[in-house]
Amino acid sequence: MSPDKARLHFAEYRKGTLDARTAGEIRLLLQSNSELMAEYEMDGRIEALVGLKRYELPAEGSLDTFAAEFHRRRRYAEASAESVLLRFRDKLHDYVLSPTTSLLRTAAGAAALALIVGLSLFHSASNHGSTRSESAWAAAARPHHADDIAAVNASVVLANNDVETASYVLPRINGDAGPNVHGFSQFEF
Amino acid sequence: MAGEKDKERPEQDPPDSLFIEQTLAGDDSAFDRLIERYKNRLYSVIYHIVNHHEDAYDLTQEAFLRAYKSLKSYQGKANFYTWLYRIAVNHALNFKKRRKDALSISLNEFDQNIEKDRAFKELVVNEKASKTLLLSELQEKLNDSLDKLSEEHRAVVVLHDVEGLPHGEIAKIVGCSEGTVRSRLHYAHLQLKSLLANYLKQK
Repeated sequence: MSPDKARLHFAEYRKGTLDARTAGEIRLLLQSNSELMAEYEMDGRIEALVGLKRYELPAEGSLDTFAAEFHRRRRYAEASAESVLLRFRDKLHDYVLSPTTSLLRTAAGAAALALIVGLSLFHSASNHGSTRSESAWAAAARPHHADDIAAVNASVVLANNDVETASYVLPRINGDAGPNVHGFSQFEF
Repeated sequence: MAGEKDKERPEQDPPDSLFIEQTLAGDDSAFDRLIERYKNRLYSVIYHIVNHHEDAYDLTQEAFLRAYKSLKSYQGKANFYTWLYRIAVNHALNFKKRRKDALSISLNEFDQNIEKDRAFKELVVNEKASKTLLLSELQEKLNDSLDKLSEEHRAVVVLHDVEGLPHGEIAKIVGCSEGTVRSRLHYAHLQLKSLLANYLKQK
């Protein structure tokens, strides 16, 4: 084995995950080549140093309401997708039924409308889960989970404080500033 | 469907496949179990790629959302965690590519167990500096150095050196051969050698 090839296997050699033959070849190379041995040791130090990043922790409590937030975002995404399709369908419907529209355009519009209706049906059918039986907008608009309610209550309390403090503290309480930053908060209140 | 990660859990923990089937049958609380099981690890890997709290949180949410939407297409060929990792890493890498110019870093707290780590004692501890200063300097230097790597090299370094995944699993996650993973890891280490030179000197 060449030193170049051996270098590519340093990490696996260190972990002992190489087959016996390859590991043996690398061991012989390292014993006979002090420069390569120094490179091998340096490679190990780099791996160990970078590995210290695993001790980094997310801010305390930031992932506590993660699942509740996930479902809120999911409902919002489903409601948005449904809304876009519905609006487009209504516009097409109006266009097709307009008395000023030519026959050819009417036919094209009708085909597009059929496609949209089909997509809407497909979208509804593909939404697995509890939101199937109720309006997705209604589902998105109200908190469903105890954690949702707690998060909303926390937001209301913080909203009464000054803006600077609230915007700093919110991520730690809600677990994230994302939805507020991206305008999701309009559905919470 | 139950892969290596399933084996790591205690016997009484149900396999991922059960929760996947229940989710597909309409039980959202089953997906919550998958979220609880993997949210910390997924957040961790995304955070180490993007280096920002709020971005990591949003990207983790979005990764789970993508997984939820495409759960039907999951065929169980790879274990669920590898599949989820793949979605998350690709999403984080695309985010990094889009936001290349807008570099911002927010730092996490360190777990106190770092003080017991041999690498920390050998490579970082300096009797003259305070622990807090050492940790913040280390974090800044590590994040800064990793940020200088290309997205592809950084992903391999994070998955291997930080997350401790084997080459085979990394190859499946990033969608390349094991040879490419070896090569990327080697060249990333060469680059990090000069970037982290102050910490790598023999003490």
